[in-house]
Order: sequence, then structure tokens, then C-alpha cells
Amino acid sequence: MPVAVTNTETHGDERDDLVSIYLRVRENALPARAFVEAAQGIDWTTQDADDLIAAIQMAIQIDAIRLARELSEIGKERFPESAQIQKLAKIVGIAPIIKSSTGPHPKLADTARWMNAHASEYFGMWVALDGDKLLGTAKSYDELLDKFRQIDDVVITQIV
Amino acid sequence: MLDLGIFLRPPRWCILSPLEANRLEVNYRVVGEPYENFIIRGVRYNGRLCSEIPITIEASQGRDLLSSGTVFIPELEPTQVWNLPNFIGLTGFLERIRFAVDPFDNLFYFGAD
Repeated sequence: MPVAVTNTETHGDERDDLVSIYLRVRENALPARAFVEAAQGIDWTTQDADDLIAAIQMAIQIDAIRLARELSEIGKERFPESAQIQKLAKIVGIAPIIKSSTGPHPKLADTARWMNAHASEYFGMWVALDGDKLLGTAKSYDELLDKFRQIDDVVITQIV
Repeated sequence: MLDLGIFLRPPRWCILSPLEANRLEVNYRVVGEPYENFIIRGVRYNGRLCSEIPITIEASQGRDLLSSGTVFIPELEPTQVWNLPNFIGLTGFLERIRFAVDPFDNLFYFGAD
């Protein structure tokens, strides 16, 4: 992953340290926590947009999602014009859940009953189901998708 | 078309089959953020994280849940074949809902709050 970190006289060392720690985390030589602690030691309210972007990208890459969220919130506020920061903020952001007025889907209950009764007969296989009706089986998802994608409500899944 | 996400040891991110990703309205290769070394069932994948992908959990009893979330879409190497289902992930999706799993009866209970 490209890491764009600019150096200034004031903050260059700590950012270089952060990249160094990130690379060591990627090599499993350090835990992700080390990166989080190092990042939390930096005053991000004084960094430029490229540095924030690089830090968010690194945090995402090592699954430090809480840190990525914190940094993207700072970035959104400080650099509202930065499309890249807005994009990263959406990636780690929390969208609202909407309770739908639709449902229940009776065919899903039928499918669940079929799975409980017959799944063990098809272990490892892909199955296409319309309710409790077995439409077909295959060794790959593609085969079933090609055959049955036009059918509304078809369930294609692998038996595991 | 319905598609069951696999719910055994949920991964960090939701995962969308690259075949189905090609049917999205957006070009995920353009709008996605590179994400590397995502291990799925022991295999290492590179790909893209794409935000605002519509996700619906359809209910056999009660109401569906609708949302949009970030999903990982694998970018397959020439030697790789994708033969896995879609997965429900923790970050950006499961973390936002209430859920419980009944493994004996193979049931997934969910709610918004």
C-alpha cells in the first residue's frame, strides 16, 4: 500500500516512527497496539491532510478500526474538501440501520427447514433453493448463479 | 436474489463475491480502497474495501433490516478461483445490530435495537 507521509522539521521524526512501527506490525514483529499507541501520541490537529490520510490507511490495513475512525473524524472536520478523507471516513464509518417494513419472507422459513433436514446430505456442495424446493446442486457458485440468477428469491449457498 | 452470508467465525469485514460485485452499479475497482492480505479460510487475498454497499438481512419471521455497509471485494490473482459464499462481517455491520446465534437449530436472531 502506498504510504504518503510528508516530512517537516517539526513532526518528521514522529511520523517516520509511525511508518516504521506500521511496517513492523505488518511483519508481525509488533502488535497492532504499538501502532495505535504511537498514533495516539501524535497531535493530529496540527498535521496536514496527506499525513492523516496515510495514518488512516495504515490503521485500516492493520485493522485498528477504532483509531481509523478517530482519525477520520478529525480529518473530516479539518479537511472537508478532501475527497480521500471523506472516502476513508465512509469506509470506517457507521451507517444507520433501518428497520424495514418488509418481511417476513415465508420462503426463508421453508429454506431453513430444508437446510435442517437435508444439509448434511450435501456437505461441501453448493445448493440452489427456492423455498424448500431444491433447484440444483453444483461444485461451484458460478454454475448455480449462471443457471438460476433470474429466479426471484432463489437462495444459493454452500453447505458447510 | 437472496444470498446467505456464512456466519461461522465472522470476518472483520463483510465479503462480497467478485462475481456479484461486477453487478454493482459502481465500479468497485475505481471507488474502492485497496486492502491487502485479508485471510479468508486460510487463503490470502488482496482486494478493495467499498463503502455504502446496500445490505439487507431478510427475515423468515419479523422484519428485515436494511443498511449500507463496507464490504471487501477480493481482486483475484490469475491462479485464484473464488468458490466461497458471501460473508457477514463485524466491522460496519454486525457491530451495529443486536444478534444471537442458535447453532443447534441453525437460527440467527437479529434486531436493530
